[in-house]
Order: sequence, then C-alpha cells, then structure tokens
Amino acid sequence: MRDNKSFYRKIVYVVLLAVLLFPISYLGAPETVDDDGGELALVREKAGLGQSNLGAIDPASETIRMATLGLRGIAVSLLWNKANDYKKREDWTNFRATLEQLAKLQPYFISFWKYQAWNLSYNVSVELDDVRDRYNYVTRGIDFLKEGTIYNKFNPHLISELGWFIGNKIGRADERVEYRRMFKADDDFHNRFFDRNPPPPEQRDNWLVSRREYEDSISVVDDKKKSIGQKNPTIFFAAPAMSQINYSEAIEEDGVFGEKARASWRSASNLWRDYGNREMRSSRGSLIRLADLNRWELETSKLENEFSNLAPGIRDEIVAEKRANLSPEILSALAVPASIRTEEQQNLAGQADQLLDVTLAEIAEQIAKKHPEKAGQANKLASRIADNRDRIFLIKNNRQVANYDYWKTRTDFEQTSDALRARELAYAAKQAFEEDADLLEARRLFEESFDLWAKVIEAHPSLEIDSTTGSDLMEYVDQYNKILQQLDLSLSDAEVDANFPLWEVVEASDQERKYFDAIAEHKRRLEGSKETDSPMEEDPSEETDSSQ
Amino acid sequence: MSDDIVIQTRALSKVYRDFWGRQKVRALKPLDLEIHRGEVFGLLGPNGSGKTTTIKLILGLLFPTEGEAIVFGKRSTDVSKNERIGYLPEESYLYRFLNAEETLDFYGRLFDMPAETRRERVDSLIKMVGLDKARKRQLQEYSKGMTRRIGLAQALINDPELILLDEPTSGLDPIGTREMKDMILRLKGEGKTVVMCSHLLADVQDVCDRIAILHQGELKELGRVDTLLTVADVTQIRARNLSPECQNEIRECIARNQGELMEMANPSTTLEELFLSIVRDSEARPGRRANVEPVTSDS
Amino acid sequence: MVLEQEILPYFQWLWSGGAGSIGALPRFLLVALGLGLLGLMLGYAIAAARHGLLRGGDIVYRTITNGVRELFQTSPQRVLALAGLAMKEAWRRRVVVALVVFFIILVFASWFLKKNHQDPAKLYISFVLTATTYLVLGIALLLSAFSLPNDFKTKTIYTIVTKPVRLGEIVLGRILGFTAVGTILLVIMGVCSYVFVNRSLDHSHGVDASSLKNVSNADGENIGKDGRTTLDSYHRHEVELDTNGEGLALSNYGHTHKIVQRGDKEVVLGAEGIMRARVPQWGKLTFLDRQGVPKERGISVGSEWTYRSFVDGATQATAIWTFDNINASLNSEAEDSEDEGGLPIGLIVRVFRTHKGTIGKPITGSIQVRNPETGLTSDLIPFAALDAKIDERLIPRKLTGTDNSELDLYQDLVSSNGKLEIRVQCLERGQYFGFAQPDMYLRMRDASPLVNYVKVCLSIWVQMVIVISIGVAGSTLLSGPVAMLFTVSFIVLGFFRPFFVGVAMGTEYGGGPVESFYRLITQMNVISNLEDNLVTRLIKGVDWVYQSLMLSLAQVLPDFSSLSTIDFAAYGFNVPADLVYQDLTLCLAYVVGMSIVGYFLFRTREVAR
Repeated sequence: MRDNKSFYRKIVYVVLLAVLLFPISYLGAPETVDDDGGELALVREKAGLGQSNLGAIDPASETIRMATLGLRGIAVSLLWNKANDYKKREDWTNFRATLEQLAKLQPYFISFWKYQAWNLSYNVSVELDDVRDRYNYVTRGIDFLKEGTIYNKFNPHLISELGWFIGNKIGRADERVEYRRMFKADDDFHNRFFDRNPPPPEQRDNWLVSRREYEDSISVVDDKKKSIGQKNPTIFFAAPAMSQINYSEAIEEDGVFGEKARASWRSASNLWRDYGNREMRSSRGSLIRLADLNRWELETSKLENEFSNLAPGIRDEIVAEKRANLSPEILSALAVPASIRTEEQQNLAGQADQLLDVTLAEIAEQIAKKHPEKAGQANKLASRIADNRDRIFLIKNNRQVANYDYWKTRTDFEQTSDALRARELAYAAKQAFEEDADLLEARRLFEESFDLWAKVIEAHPSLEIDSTTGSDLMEYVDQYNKILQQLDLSLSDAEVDANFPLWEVVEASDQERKYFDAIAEHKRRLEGSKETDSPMEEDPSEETDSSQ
Repeated sequence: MSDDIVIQTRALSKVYRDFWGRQKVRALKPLDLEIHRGEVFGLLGPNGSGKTTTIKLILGLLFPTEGEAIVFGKRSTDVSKNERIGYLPEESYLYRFLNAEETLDFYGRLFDMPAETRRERVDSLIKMVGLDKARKRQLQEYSKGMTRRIGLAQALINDPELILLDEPTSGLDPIGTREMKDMILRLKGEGKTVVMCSHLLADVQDVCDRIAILHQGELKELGRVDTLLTVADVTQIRARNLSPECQNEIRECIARNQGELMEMANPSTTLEELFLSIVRDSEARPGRRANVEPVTSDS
Repeated sequence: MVLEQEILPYFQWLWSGGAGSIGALPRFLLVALGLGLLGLMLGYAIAAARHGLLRGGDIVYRTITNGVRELFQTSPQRVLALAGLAMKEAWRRRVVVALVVFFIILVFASWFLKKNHQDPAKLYISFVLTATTYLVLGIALLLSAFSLPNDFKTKTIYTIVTKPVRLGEIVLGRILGFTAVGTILLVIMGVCSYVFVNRSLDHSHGVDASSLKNVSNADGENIGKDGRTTLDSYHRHEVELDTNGEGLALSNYGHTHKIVQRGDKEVVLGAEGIMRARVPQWGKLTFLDRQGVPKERGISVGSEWTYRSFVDGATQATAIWTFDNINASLNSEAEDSEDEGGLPIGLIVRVFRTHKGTIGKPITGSIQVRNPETGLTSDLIPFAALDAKIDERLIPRKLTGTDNSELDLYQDLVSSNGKLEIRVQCLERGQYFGFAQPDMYLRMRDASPLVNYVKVCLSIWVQMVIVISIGVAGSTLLSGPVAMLFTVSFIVLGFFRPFFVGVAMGTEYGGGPVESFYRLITQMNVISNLEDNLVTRLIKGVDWVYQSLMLSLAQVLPDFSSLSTIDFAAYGFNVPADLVYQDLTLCLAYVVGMSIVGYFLFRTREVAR
C-alpha cells in the first residue's frame, strides 16, 4: 500500500511539472523580429521594459545561459567555431540557426550583432546567385541586427548600424535597382520590421527607413543620454540628412522630379540646416556648431580690432625689437628679394618669419608692461581671441569632414526649378538615348539640360566646382559624349564646343583624363579667340597626347 | 585425490599488493587444508586473520599468490566448479531493486535451470527461509535478518553440495542465530559439506565438526572440536544437598569416596578459552604453528 | 546534399575497400591481430613480473585456453538473465529522466528554432535528431560506464561470479541489456521527434485574393490564375490555378501545397514534401579542363572548402558524370502528356561569378548526353543554373544529335554495358560552375520518408551500441568515473576523428601535440616552420612517438561523424542501403571486439579487491 501511495504521489509530481512547463513555454517565449513572443514578452513590451533597462529577463536567453552551467564562454567559442565552419561549408541554414543560438548566449555583446549581421547581409548574400536570394539574406542580416536592437534597446551604435544596412547595403549595392524595388514591395519585411505597424507604402523607401533608424539612434543619444563612444559626432549626426539626400538622389534616378523631388530636397536642406545648428562635441571636448563659422569669424575679427586698438603700435614695436635681435645671416638673407633666394636663404627667411611672429600673449604682456591699467582687458581679449581661433579651426575642420558647404549648397540648389528641370531633362535625354535610341532628341535634351546647369552653377557661386560636384554631372557628360560619338561628333568639335557650357566642370572632374584632349582643344580655342590667330591645329604635342 | 575430499588447498597463500605491485599485506601464509565431504568445517580467527581471504581464494574471487585451491578436483579459477557451490557472503550483496522472487529467479537462471524446476525451487526456498509473506517486496525494504535469509536462500538455489558461509550469523538476533545453526545442521544432515568462517566462537562450537584457527594469516590449530576441547587431567564434580559440614567433608570424603556423587567426567574447556590461549601463544611466538598443550586446570 | 565521403557498395567496402584503403573485414582482422598480440605481450609481461617467467607463461596460456573454452560454454539463458538484470537496473537508475529531458527540449525547442529559414525542415530534423543522438549517447555512456563498477562497489558481483557465470556473459549481458533500454528510449524519442517535426512544420495558407490575376495563353484564352498565398509560417508561395480554381502553391521553403476548390473558395491543403527521401543514384565525376584535357578535378576558385571544383564558362571545360546501369526502365513519363518523358536527374550547380553579368539573370549552362562507347553525343540542352537549389529535371528521351539526327536516349546513347555520360558546361565567359560528385544524380522514385527516418534512427542506434560496448568493456577494469572518461574520450575523439587522424598523420597545421603546445606557449603561428635546433628536433621526435600512438588508436576509433546519417534526413535524401549495412556491420564488429576485450580485461581483474 505504502509504495503505491508514494508511487502515485511521484506520478502526480511529474505530471504537475510537465503541466507547468507548458505555461512557462507559453508565457516566456521570447519576442523576436517575426514573433510577438509569449505573454511575458508582451507585458514587458507594454511597460517599456527593455532588456537594458531592467537587466536581462528574456527567459529563453536566460535559460540557455543557465543551461550552460557556467560554461557559457566555452559554449560560445564552440558555436562561433561551428558558425565559421557552416559558413565555410556554405550551409547557410545552419549558419543562421547557429547565429540565433549564439544570440541567445551573448545578447549584449554589441560587436557580435554587428559582425554577424554584416556576415549575413554582406558576405552570405553575395554567395548566392539569384538576386532574390541575395536580397533575402540582406534582409535577414537586417532582421538579425534588429533583433540585436531589441536586446539592446538604447544602443545608438546598433541602431545607426541598422540605418547603414538599410540605407547603404540596399541603396548602394550593384543590385540596388532590384534591391530597392524589392524592398519597397516587401510587405512582409515592413510588417515584421515595424512590428505590424508598417509605414505607408510611399515611405517604404530604403533611404527613408534608413533615415528613421538614424533619427532613432540620435534620439537615443539625446533623450537617453547614451554615449556614441568613439564615433565621430560630425559623421554620426549627419546621417539622417545624408539619408534624405540619398533618397532625393535615388528618386531622381528613378525618374521622379517636380514637386516630390523638390519637397524631398527641401526636407534634406532643412535636415542639413538642423545638423549645422546642432551642438556637437568636438575632438577637443568643446561644443561647436558647424553653422556658426561666420558668427565666430565676425566676432573674432571684431575682437582682434578691439585688441589692436587697445594699444596701437605695440605690435610694430615688438616686431621692430625682434628684428633688431636677428642674426646678421638672417638679415642678409631677408635682404635678398624672395624670388631669387637660395635654398639656404629661404631657410633663413623661414626662421626669421618664425622669430618675428608675434603672439597675442606677447602683445598682451607688452601692454601689461606699458599700460598696466589695460593689462586685465588685454589678457582677457587675447585669450578670447585664441579661444575663438581654436573654435574656428575645429569648425572648419569638421565642416570639411562632413563636406558641409557642399551639401548645404547642393541641397539648396537642387530645390530650384532650374536644377529640377535640368535633372529631369537629363533623365529624359537618357531615356531617349537608352530606351528609344533617339540620338538627336537625346542630344537636344542634354544640351538643354546643360544650359540650365550652367545657370544653376552661376546662381550658386558658393558651389565650388570640384570633383564632388562634378562626378554627378560627369555621368551626364559621359552619356552626352557617347551620343556625340554615335553621331560622329566629339566634344572638341568647334560647333559642339561652342554650345557646351560646362567646360569648367569637366576640367575639374575629369579624373580619368578622358576629356584631356577635348579640354586642351577647348583651351586653345579660347586663347585663339583672344589672340585671333593660332597654329594650334598642327601642334605636335597634341599628337603625342592622343597617341597615348 | 580421494573423492571424499571436497576442498584441498596446497600451500595457498595471498599477498595483497598495491597498484605498483609492492607488497602491502601478507593476508594468508601458505595454507594446507583438506575438507571432507559431509563435514561442517569452521574457519576461526579474529578479524583480519585471513578467514575471508581463504574463502574468497577457494571461490576464485581472489587469485592466489602462490599455491592453489582445488575444489571438486578443479582449480578455483574454473567457473564450472560453481555449479555445485553455494556461497553466502559476509553481508548479503544482492540487488536491492529486486524482490525475493525475482532475486531467486535471477540466480536460478544463472544456473541455467529450466523454468519449471526454477519455479519450484524458488517457492520452496522462500518458504524454507520464511519469507513467504515478503516475497513480493523489494530487498531494499528488508530488515537485516530478512536479507540474511534471502541471501541463504540464494546460496542454496542450485541445491549445492558445498556451501560456503561467511559469518553466517553476523547481524542476526538470538532466534535468527539459532535458526541459522539449525539450518547448517540440517544441511549437514542432508550430506552436504559446509564451510563457514566466523569469529563468533559459540556458533562454531555448536555446529562445526572440525575447525581451523587462523591468526594473522597463519594456521594455528586444526582438528575436531571435541578433541580440541577435551581436558585430560581434570575431574569435574557436581553435587547437590550437601550441608556446609558436608561440603567441608567432601574434600576428605572424595578421597574416601563418600557422599552422593552426581557427576564425574572429563570436563571441557570453553572454546573461548582455547581460542584466547592460541591467540596469546601466537602473539608470543609468531610464525609458528600453535602447539597448545591440552589445557590444564591452572591455565 | 553534401557528401564528402563516397559510399562504397557493401561488399566492396567489406572486402576490398575504396581507393587507397583496405576492406573493412581485412582491417578488422588486422586490428584484431594487432590488439591480440599487444594484449598477449602486455599480459605476459605483467604476469611474468608478478609470478616469474614460467608461471607467468602458464597463467597467460590458461587464461587464453579458458577464454576460448568459455566462449563455447556461453549460455543464452544466462546472458538473457543478465541482460534482464541490466535493464531493471537501468530502469531503477531513472533512465526515464532522459525522456523527461527530451520532452523538455521538445517543448522549448520552439524558443530556439524558427521557421523563417529557407529550409525549415532541415533545421528541425537536424535539431531533433542531434538532440536525440546526444541524449541517447549520454544515457548509453552513463549506464554502461557505471554499471559494473557499481556492482564491484556494492559487491553484488560476488554473488554473480560465484555462480557458473562466464565473464563474457556478464559483459555481453550488460551490452544487450543496455542496448535494449536504449532502444526503447530511442524508439520513443524517434516517434516523438518524427511527430514533432511533422506537426511543427505542418501549416496551411489562404489564397491572397487580391493578388490573383487572370492568365491567358498565346491565343488570349483564359487558362487560369496566378497569385500568391497569404503569409503564414514566415513565408508565402506563388500560386498557379487552373480554370477550375484548383492548382498548386509552388515550391518555397522546401515544400508545396495543393489547392482545391471547396464551396467556391480556394482551400490550400497541408504542406507536401516537407520530409522527403530522394533516392539518388550517384555516378562518377571527372572533368575536362579548358583545353579539353581530362582531369580528376576542375579548377579552384580560391574557396577554402575544396569540396567542389569548378569549370570555366565558354571554354571546353566540362564536368562529366558517368552513370552505370542505365536502361529504359528508369524512364519517367508525365502522366497526362504525350511526349515520351525522359531520364530524371537532380542537379546542383554552384555558381561562381567573376563579374556580375546581367543582374537578376541566371547563368546559362548546357547538358549533353554522350555514349561512352560510340562517342555519339546529343546536342546541347541549355539550362539556367539555379544556385544552391536542386534542379530536378528530365533528360528527354527523344534527343537530337550534333548532326541533327534523331536519337533515343536509351538505345543510342547508353553503351552496351549500361553506361551513360552526362556532360555539363557553363556557357558564359568569365563565369564558373562548381561541382562535386554527388551534385548530379539519377532520381529514382522517392522512398518513404518514414522508413528513411527509421534508417537514420538506426544509425543513431548503431552509435549507441558502440558507445555501450566501449563503456562496458572499459568498466570491467576501470572504476566508474574513469570508465566514463575513457568512453567520453572515445566519443569525443570519435566525433573529431578526421581531425585526430589529421594530427596523427601530420597533415593538420601546427604539428603534433608537443609541437603545437610549444607553438602555443611561444605564441608562434601554426604555419611558419620551426627553426631546426636540438629542442625542436626533440619535440619532433616525441611527436613522432605520439603520432604513431595516435595513429594506432585511430584504428579502433569509431568515426561518429560519418556514422551519423542525420544529414540525409535533413537534406531530404534516402539513406543508401549500403550505408545501413555498413553501419550495422561496424556495430557488430564493435560488439564482438569489445566483448572479447572486456572479457580478457575482466579476467585479469580480481573480483574481490
């Protein structure tokens, strides 16, 4: 009797245990990209309890980590090894499954998410041949990264990485046309990525989604006061605006112009302005705004004036004093006119410049000596000017990093009707050439477009004609050149040359020296028209050039 | 070797060695024994004297260092001798998750017994050792005495001719001890040979025909129990109804043969005395066969 | 699927072996001989050291003659009794816990397994079967390694060996008993995992009504509708419906669905083909290089994995499979079609592009069929390479020859001894096709996935029995934990046997054990050569000894990685019968070998120590 009782009791325990397991499985199932997960995950989501907020409470991850009994490190190493092996043996299904297991084991290891998402989106996708399969793995990498951001809700790196993947992997790959098209049509992706709350179809452009992610990453930095670590803020904060710019370019590439393009560029311009006005920490720790360059320059020159007016002539006095102290060799070197100095003399002159350099501090010191009552003011001014110069240096530097001026001008002029029209014409020309093979029409459209471009460039003198600006226009020029070739013409033909308004651009951007001859020809022609006659036709140098 | 001799050991010795082969304990010094059919033979000695080692050597559970043990004319390492042997170990080393029936059935099958015989044999043995009511209970729920009894039943499953019992009464209560002794005598009555080892002298004295006394691995004494315990030069008198005066007189009267003589015989010493004297002697003169004189009254 | 080792026909495997190896039976005998001699020498050395030269010889001689005699005295009844005891013991030692663990794994599997993979069945099958393997091997290990030592510890063995039980019977009984217990567990786990995989992956879809578009044929006649299904289980299918509204959800995620009309509505039925058992008949692969010279292998495209080799496009480079036993009975005909069908093949092409080509357009290749005897060759049959998918196609029976003659596949292109060559080329310059031998096969009728599953479970069973044999044999001499470590090292080394052999043969980077330890502590990389001095020579010398030992050990090491046939089920291929027989033979060899080893180890042991 007694054994039976204890036996039945045991049975009941086992059954109870088993019964309890099911609700655990039901309640605790983890939330994933594709799945809301169990009840706990839902409640957690509702209460906004991200992993990083409240420690780790994803039961799946915790269970598997506990199940390794403190051998997590070993388990992780084994799995990484396995993942590498699967990758080597091109077993992508198991590769991904292993990554998912790893994700459960080390969900807070940021580099893991980045590295393996990269693996999926960049390395695995290219191993497949069918562009749909490739796209599939690109989005799997994105999904994977997204899962990482769920575990690490407020990690700006992961979120901005997401922006990068969606923007650049989809929008810059060789297969970008297909990828972008598939991305837009991929309801399933948007459903799971935005957690069943996808944006309206017109916002499903990869660049717009990318912009959203970048903005999210910035808001994490702003609202949650998360650090961006080693990342360069100049680049980090430019990302949403850059995505918008890329979007604008991309839709124009797709043939969308008019108000939609204008609005997009306007939005890009606004974002860029906001970016310029954002206070960012510079590499020296001070806070700067890229847009403030003018203000600081003005203020500095004002201060400099004030400073020099404090005790006029002091500076000259110091210079005179210093000059008196120069060694005779240096003085004799300085006496020689700059253009005919020997190398030694040049060195000496250089030394002299250094020796004669008067710092603000020196002047302030001198003022203190001569006019003790102005000493305080002088020191204050001197240090303010030095500060400002520092700041200006930093701003200039960072503006260069972000190519700030260019994008500012670009986003401005692209909104103008002329620019929009010019782009549209170029697009139409391209269509006429590629689709309809209508060479004459294409040529006409290009020429019309180029005239407008010339107008745009003229209207925006701040646009530096350099390779950045040019590369984009050069594509048109290349096409135009192709058309000309098919028409048995060339850029160097007098008639074409005369009507071509973008020589400056071509000269600045012809990095492959494709148009070297044409440019030379054009220059000669210009000079010829100034000097009335020229023997340029028979120039032997041209022949050697063309034979190269 | 005559048919009559069931076990014969020739210079049987055992040295326990450690892993590296170094000598650790000399458990048994060369031993020559002959055990005859139908006798109850007792191996007697204090703990660690080599009794159990001897039994294990006889069974082949240990390999002899020198010499050999012959059982039924076969070497002790030959498994086929086991057909005719029953062995009750010091404690009943049985599978605790089996019940009595299963246990006996299992051992029966190890003897390749046909199912029918096995069933009958199991049944009768269970009844014999008095476990009829507990036959379906797992051994882990058995008391010590019950375990000994099922152990005995297990040893008898093949109706062996030779039964080796290692400390058969250890852990048994007086009644159990009595039953065990009766069992041994009954087996003797059935003509079986029983070899038992024990340090409980009373048991040995009660049932054994012959004993060997071992101490520190050496055989100290060997012989029939009655011979060993006979004291030659002593007369024992037991009397009744003697007045104190009479008692005084007895010493004189005995010389004159007066008064009622109730008993007059050659008395036995107890085995305990014999045993202790051997042990004392052995410790005084180690390495020699005990040569205890027949016990005198002053000892 | 990936098949890195060729599967030999059973008798060839048994007697003569493949290229560069000897048959399994001769190898077994050699190993047995080697082990026997080794055991004899060791045994005599020890016995002689203990008991002197003569007595030692006597003991060894008696042990062997006794052993042989006892072999013939083995009683089935005693073995069965001991097996029964082992089963009861296993039961008492709560092997059921393993089942509980297994069910927990199944219940929680959905936390870690997702259906959003291209081939969910592969993942699910690998997972459950791998879990089953580990669990079963774990149980086998624990049961077998601790059972006998436990008997020694509790001294219950005294009452056994004092019965007329032959030691071999104890070993064999244990092996049998634990095998029986393991089998029961395996059967339960197998059934549950089969149900689990099928239940988990079974799903259905709806038809996305808004996606349906009418399709017309060339005459403008409506021939049905195209569209897609709803998104379920992370995927959808393209749908093709006929005019009755019935049709097929096309293959995606490794399966299809039938669509029928029920009450004016399209109803998508359950998934078909989640588990398959393709029956391939593999051929022999050779190559022609770009000049048309025969080669063993194609060229490498620099992939670390050398499984496939490549042919370059628009050159004479060709992959040639030669198939045996071709006859018209292999012909497969479409049921309702008037054409004559053809030879069904499966083809896997790994595409390697050196330039992007036209994005979105597959690379084209060509198939040619050739009679190896007469050299008669069919015209090119062009195809578009489906990278990393199995292209199941027919080689049409009616073919045209290179001279526009009409050819019959089986009459004109198959040689008199039933051989047929299929040649594959890549047609685009600068693009490459990669092939391994199993990448083309003749498709026989699919076998039953259930039977295939059973066969895979059988391979797990074989592994289990081998582990039990090793564990029991080891535990006759060793204490429980040591026996377990002994067996575990067998299992671990067995799983990494190729690597182990690689180290032993010196083909792995980093050298032998001592050398790699030296590299480790001196932080030297594994590629650079050791400088030649006294120390490194000493290291190499010691390693030579180690490597010889490892090589000898490798002879008895079971190759668990190749015993496992999980990949077959996962990739949806039938486990070839030859492989099953080979595994079973191997299993028998281990049981026999380990029983004998166990017997003699047991013999050398004093039970009562």
